[in-house]
Amino acid sequence: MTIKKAKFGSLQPDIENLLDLTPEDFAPATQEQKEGFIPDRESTSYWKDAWRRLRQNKVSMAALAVIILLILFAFIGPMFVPYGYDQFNRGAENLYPWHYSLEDQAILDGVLGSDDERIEAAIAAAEKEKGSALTSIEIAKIKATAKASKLDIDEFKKEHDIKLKPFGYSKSELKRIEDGEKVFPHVCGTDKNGRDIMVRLMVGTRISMLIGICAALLVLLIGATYGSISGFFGGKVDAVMQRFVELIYSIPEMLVVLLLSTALKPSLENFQNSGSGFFQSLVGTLGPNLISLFVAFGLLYWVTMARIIRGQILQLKEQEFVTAAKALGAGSGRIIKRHLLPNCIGQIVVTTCLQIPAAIFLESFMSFLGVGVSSPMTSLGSMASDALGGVQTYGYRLVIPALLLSIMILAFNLFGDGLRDALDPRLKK
Amino acid sequence: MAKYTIKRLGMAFITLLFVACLTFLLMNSIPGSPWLSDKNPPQATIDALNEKYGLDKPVAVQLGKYLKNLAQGDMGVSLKMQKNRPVIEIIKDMFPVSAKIGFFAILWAIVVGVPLGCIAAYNRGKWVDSFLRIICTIGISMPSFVVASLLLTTFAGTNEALRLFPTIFDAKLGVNTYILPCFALGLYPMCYTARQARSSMLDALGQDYIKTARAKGLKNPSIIFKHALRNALIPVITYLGPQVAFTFCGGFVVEKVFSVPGLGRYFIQSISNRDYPVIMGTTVFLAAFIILMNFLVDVLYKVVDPRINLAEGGK
Amino acid sequence: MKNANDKKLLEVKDLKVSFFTPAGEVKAVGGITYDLDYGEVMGIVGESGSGKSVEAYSIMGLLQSPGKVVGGSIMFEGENVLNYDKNKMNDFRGKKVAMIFQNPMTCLNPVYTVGNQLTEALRAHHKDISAADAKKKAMEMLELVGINNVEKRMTQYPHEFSGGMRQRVMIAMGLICSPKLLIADEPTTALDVTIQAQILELMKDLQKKTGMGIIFITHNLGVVAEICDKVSVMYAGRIVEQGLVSDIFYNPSHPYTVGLLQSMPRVDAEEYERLIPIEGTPVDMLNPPEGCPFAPRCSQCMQICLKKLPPYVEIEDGHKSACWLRVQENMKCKEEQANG
Repeated sequence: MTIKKAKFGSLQPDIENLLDLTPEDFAPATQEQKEGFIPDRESTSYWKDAWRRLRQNKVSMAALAVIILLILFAFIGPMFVPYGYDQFNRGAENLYPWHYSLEDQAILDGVLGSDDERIEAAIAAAEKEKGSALTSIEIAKIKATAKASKLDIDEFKKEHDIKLKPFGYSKSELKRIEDGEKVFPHVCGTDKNGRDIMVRLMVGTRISMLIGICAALLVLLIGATYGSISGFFGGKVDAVMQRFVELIYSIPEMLVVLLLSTALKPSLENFQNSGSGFFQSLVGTLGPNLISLFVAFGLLYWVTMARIIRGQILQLKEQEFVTAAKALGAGSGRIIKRHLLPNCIGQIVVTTCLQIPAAIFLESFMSFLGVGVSSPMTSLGSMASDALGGVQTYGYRLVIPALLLSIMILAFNLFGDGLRDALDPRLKK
Repeated sequence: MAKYTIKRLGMAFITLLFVACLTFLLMNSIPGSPWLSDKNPPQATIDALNEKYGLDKPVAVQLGKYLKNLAQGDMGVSLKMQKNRPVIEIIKDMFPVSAKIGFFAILWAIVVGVPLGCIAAYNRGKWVDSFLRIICTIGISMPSFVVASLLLTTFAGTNEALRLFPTIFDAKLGVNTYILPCFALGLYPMCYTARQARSSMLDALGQDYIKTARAKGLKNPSIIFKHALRNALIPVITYLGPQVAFTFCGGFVVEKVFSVPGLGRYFIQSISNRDYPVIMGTTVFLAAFIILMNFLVDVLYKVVDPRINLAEGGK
Repeated sequence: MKNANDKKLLEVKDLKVSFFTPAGEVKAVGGITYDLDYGEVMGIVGESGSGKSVEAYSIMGLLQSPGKVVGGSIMFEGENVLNYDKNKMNDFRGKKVAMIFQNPMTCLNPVYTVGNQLTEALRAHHKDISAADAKKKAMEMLELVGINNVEKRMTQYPHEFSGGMRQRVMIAMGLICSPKLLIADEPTTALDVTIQAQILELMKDLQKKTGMGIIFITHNLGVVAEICDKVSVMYAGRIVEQGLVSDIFYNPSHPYTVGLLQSMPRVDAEEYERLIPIEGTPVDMLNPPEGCPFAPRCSQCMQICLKKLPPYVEIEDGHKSACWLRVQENMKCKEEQANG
């Protein structure tokens, strides 16, 4: 092609400065030089990229750390505590998560004891004066005046420098410590049967987590299978399958879950006692309660997952790579497994992860209502439920499991959110 | 429209039938009987009672009879808890209490949740957004019984100054008695709605038609409230439909904690008492209620989104 | 058509736009300069990612975070648009400059009627107009862009329109306030070829009727030839060549322009002629190399191209090109002149 060499007068001014260019500068560049010109950016895979994004998300990393701590707490923790979750520690009933040293306790007992003695003495004196037994009203009056003149306990504690010390010990345990024995403290106190609350918390957390993860996997299995079949085949199959999904949606799920778990329990117990096969022992280890919860959850909660997967598959199957796979003669199963599901893996992972807190939620809910995990097994929900009765005196028994539960669900939720942002940057909001 | 209505009604009928059968079977597989109690009546009495209420017949026959009666609007009578009182009357008694609490809970969830979501979306990335996000995530991480029991410990605790609201439900006390149950029940849907509203609002704000609106020189309020909000409401409605039904009748826990004489609490008692007609009646009633709610959501869709053609039953 | 005080309609000077992503600053537009007279139609041509849309968005103040104008000026009728505050910007958008977008399927709000969206544009800038007048004006505009059965069409929703019809609605909406400049961001790309031709024809027509200026953003040189007076070719955020349509088509002086022309089918090809694609891929804007960004794809690449950005060389009046080849020629020419 020809270039008109017409008017060249009006060069831009900065060109003048460039006139010291040497002829070498205008030598053609080699292919290698051209190739080396653009710095190669490190190519990153989908997962590597997602992991990088996840790592940058401080909140979800913190949530992950909390989850790991909770797993350690729930699964490793009980090994270090010498109490069983169903072990009644006699003499250690109703301990608070704090204690007084033995001397302080003695002083306090002295004061409190003298209080009672004073009342009794006052009553006796009054009886003598009156010459006959006192009416209950009179006794109440005397008690009231005695109480009014009672020592201010807080003041008294300050005076004698009596301070609360962390962790609960029973008196006999404190004595054993004095004798030089090592006694493991009841970090969170004990309940009315003397069971160590911390161990129960650990076991409860374990149950909640197990239920959460297993139920989420169950939901994943059913939902992904159902959704991908429905989405992939489309047409009549899809229409019928979607009607069924709508049907499940219209079920008052909470009621049916309640019914289902109540109904399943006895038959599972029968099954457990029917022999000693693998499944029977499995039922025995997990407990009929847990299994009926799984089943109830799995049967009703897969619909959301199925809907999401179906939507994704419907979108994906129109794309060229699926047509290409079909053209190459791949069967339906292979296309679903090899081409469609891997492409919505991000959505699947995120939905599964967010299903975990939902399952934990439900389990605690059921246990709180008294139809979930039952005694002697424990869960955070049933612990909170048990504590409801004595809430005014033993508030910590309600607050600790409730907070632990909330923190666990919060951590899973935050981690799930972070995972979603990392796996699907388009959804990042 | 006629075709749509018929389709809807047909589906509703099948669903109710399914729920009724499922419940009936589940219920009958729970061992025990309504007649067992502390008194342990003699076998002859039990047999007589079973015969009187038709419990001696095979399950299939019982189910058939129940369905036949149900079709005529008869849900049977309570066997135990309010003996011989028609179940319909019991529901009429109990449901309004649950419904009132559910209604106010959902109301505050929507009225507060949607604007919070919009505010967060509009201030995306700023501290307001982060703050609201944290609050809402905490909100959806607290099961309602945790919220309810924490409220209980706070307001019924030893501190006299905090006894502001009654913690034991009593309809005579008026508005005050509804505050705590409604708050506890509505917190989760409120936070969920806010999260949903935020993300769908952000989604809407990123759409091309918002670019068009901005290019037209429209002011921010008009862009947000006219163009973005209406589109953002669509996913929110999807969530709220089932949630409304759930909240209206799902306040089991809240009803337990605050001793509300509602349907949820009654249902749990009816299971442990094996009061079969009450279990059946409640479940069928709630299923019908959920179906109604889903229908309303569909109609609401049509109002918000003109693209939806109800007759074709989809987008 | 020139304004009395001889101001240009639009003067863009050394405009720089960057996106501040977590991975670093992406210089989407790295200093571009051009001007547009009243009633002129300019095409901006380039591949996707060359910064042509970003440049247009910054004129409209539509850049979204993390995008930001980091330098330069945009003078519209002598006023710097970049200094406008929010209210003034809202007034400016739609009234003085209108914009239509690539995808008419998603650019209209699905939940409002077409009539509603049309009159809304009008009423945003004329507060005192009555509803009836606004409706009348909207109907006139719809007729103007060739939509029949206007009365009924006003009450319909966007999903009841075909793609071409929606783009017509978009154009009507853009022109309803009689703007002096229309920015069309690939308005025909998403349409069928036959519809494309109709829309182009319509825009040409309307331009003649209204005398507005148009900035036409496209990657299709054929469209440019059809409608534009002058052309800027963009590559990697810079204008590599600028000139009248005839300059660009008959005397392309940048290897990228040459490549574009060679990769375009022509009806006037004398005999069997192969289309020649431009080898290679565009540069990574996150990590732009020193030197000419086109260098690695350029068949005439020289040592200097890998080291320094080429300056603009004015080839003819109003025809500029940023290529070291032209500098080299220029130097040779000067030497010859010096040597007599």
